[in-house]
Amino acid sequence: MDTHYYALSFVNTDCKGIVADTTKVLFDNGFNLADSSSTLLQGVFSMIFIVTNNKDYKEQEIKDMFKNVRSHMEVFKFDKKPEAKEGCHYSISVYGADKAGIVHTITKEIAKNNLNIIDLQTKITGGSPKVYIMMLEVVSDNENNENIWQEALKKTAKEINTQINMKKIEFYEL
Amino acid sequence: MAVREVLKYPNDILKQYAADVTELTDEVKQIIQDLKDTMLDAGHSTGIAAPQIGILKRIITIDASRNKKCKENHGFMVMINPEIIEHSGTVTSREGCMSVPDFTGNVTRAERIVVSCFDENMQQTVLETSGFEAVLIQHETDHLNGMLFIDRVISKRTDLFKRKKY
Repeated sequence: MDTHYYALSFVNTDCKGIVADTTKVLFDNGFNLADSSSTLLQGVFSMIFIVTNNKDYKEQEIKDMFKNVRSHMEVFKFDKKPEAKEGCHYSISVYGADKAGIVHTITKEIAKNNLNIIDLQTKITGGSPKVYIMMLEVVSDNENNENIWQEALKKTAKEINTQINMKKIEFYEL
Repeated sequence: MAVREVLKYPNDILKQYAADVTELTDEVKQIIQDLKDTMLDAGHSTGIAAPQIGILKRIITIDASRNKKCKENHGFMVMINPEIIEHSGTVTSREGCMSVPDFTGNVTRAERIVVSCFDENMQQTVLETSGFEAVLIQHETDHLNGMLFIDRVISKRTDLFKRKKY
């Protein structure tokens, strides 16, 4: 029996019961929850679910299932589970006085150096002046060019007057 | 030689407290041999604790030299009733475990430890170590207390990862 994969995203201003209401629809319609990430972003609750089902639904059919759930929703259907890329993992943190373009400038350099971003989170402090903090995890095919791309990122971070820290993530098999 | 099955969570034995070893019996010697054989059989493993093969006794075997990047280590060791009596510093690394094969997780542990234990001849010994070997001993000692690395992950959202390969 074929397994069909669907990515569902829900966005709503925070209120109690959103997760329970949403997952009830998934449960009632026979979806398996394969992976999820949900968090409150500036008062907006955002959920992304990767779900599977043996039934081959059209995207609109899934949207219709959630018509009574109070969220803005999108559906993305894919028939094959995407393969995760293997390689060396690095954590990168960038911070500095808040200004437009920090994420774009840094991620553009990351892309230019053929690194794959697998996680990205940003925070902004509430004080004055505001400080912008970005934390990423990136995957490189190997560690051969580590010095080259790290120097390039340091130079880019300096050009926009931000601090950058990069560290290889060690995997321990215990 | 006896390579034993490595128990995987949610097996309840992995969440139980292991008992002290009081004397070096033939049974204890056999457990030590089985731990060594099972550890070596799993090509990537650097350590194993008795509860992982279903035995609730405070015995671990480790070999930090099996991690090629660990330059300073004490090689293969049997630790009976290990107790961490001093620790300092912190280090965060991403751990994987044979008993939780589908995940890896960021765990913060002591960077340097002093361990008191009995060796395979039931001779008391005290060992100081740091870096990978210190993390390894803390990870295996946790198994003796029914603790898995996922119990030490601070944020399930940012510190727990689905394993891509094993």
